Amino acid sequence: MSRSRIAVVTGADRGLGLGITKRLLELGWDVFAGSYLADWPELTELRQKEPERLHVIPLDVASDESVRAASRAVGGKTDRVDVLINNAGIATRYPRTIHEEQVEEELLRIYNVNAVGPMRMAQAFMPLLRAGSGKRMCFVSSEAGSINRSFRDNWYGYCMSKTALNRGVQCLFDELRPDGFTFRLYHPGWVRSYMSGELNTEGDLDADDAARMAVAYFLRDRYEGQGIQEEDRLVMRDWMGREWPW
Amino acid sequence: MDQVVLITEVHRPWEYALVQEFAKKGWRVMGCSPVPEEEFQDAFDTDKIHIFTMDTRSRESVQQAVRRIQEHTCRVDLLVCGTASSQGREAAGIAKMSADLVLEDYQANTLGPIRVIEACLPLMDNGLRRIALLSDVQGSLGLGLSGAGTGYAMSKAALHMAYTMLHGDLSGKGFTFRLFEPGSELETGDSAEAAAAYFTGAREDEERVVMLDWRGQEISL
Ligand SMILES: NC(=O)c1ccc[n+]([C@@H]2O[C@H](COP(=O)([O-])OP(=O)(O)OC[C@H]3O[C@@H](n4cnc5c(N)ncnc54)[C@H](OP(=O)(O)O)[C@@H]3O)[C@@H](O)[C@H]2O)c1
Repeated sequence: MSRSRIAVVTGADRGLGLGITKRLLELGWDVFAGSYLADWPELTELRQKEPERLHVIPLDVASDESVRAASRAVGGKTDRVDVLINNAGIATRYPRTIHEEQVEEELLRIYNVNAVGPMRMAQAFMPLLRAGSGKRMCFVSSEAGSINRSFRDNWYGYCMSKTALNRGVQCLFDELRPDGFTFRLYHPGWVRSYMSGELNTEGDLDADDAARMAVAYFLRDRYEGQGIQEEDRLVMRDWMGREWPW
Repeated sequence: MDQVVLITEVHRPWEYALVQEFAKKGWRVMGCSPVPEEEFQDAFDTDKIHIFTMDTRSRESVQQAVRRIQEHTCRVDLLVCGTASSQGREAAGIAKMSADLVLEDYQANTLGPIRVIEACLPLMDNGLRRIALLSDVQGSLGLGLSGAGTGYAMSKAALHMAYTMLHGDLSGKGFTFRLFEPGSELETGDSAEAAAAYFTGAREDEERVVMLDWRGQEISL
């Protein structure tokens, strides 16, 4: 990618999103970091260290209004965004098999955040992204959305939301790849983050390490040559570079 | 003893045609629709068909209908979940996407069948134990077709994940599954006839999670 340097990151208060924000700052980027948790201190502390390049914006990706307000706030400070990183996500807190009653509010909430949220962001930030030189959209999905590797029987809300996200990204890819947009659909690995509401101490990856690998993949160009443009193929890759089946 | 099929969304032409196919085959049909059942009074002239008001967007409505169905039968052999929210309501392109419509499609096309299955499972233990879902090529990630309404395509993709999870859980408990793409309205008659045959017949590869269209062609999920 050329030397474009403005990114928007959703769900940046903690976990992977905070790690991604820190890594982008280390690499010299300006970051608009979406903050959902007003009373979580880490992003505020980071802002004190990087007052010029880190802009914290309130952002609830489940709300049309909040997403539009965020894009207006970003648009008030810059005329372009080079990379959009859709990271915000929530997990199933009430696992239920089909033999139990599903928790409907949760099924809807997870879909709204994980599947519809990134589409809202893509829509609202489209003018700023079109003006950017990166035109890159990154989506943090999950292995849990892979139909071909599905093994769970009690995480309907989360699994369905990530499968739907993958299909939504296919639709975006179809529409926007001809305009020069590039896409990263990503499974970050099992990360020691706050998805369950508290810090998961058992995951395979520290959030900052997971973020380092995610950012490397998000910012790197894919192969072009011998008549091939790898960017013309939408794939889901994981933190180890492995491709996941749909 | 007659076999019993429960079919949802029978106010729609394809599901309506399927009701008639099953009645022709001699099955007892419990037809469900969000349209008040009184409006169907003259539509079916057979005592094999019972119509119930059921709005699959509401758990309460689904549970109420299933309680009433239990007054007519203690067993459902085959459950067929139709499509509640059709394609074509959305404008093409991300710029015109309505998040509310995307959520409505999920409510109807993905959560609807889950509500119905959840409510009907206790009635299915002693019968054929077969669950059929209607879907659409637009939901296929394997094909990744263009031109789909985004919310609709996402809702069907999510349904395919639910289908896969149900298959993983229930196939070990004696359940078999059918995921079916009915095709365009022009083919409704032939398609419903093919579906009735497919839904009631045996398959040599029950372990595989597949979607078939009305011509018997396999569509990757
Ligand atoms: N952790 C894993 O092992 C794993 C595996 C595969 C994929 N992922 C994906 O990785 C992404 C990041 O998750 P994480 O592991 O870093 O979890 P996390 O620690 O919970 O971080 C997610 C962040 O998003 C925020 N958020 C929640 N709802 C939001 C909303 N409506 N609008 C904006 N932000 C919102 C969260 O706030 P709250 O803390 O208040 O909820 C949190 O700050 C997610 O998309 C997740 O699905 C994670």
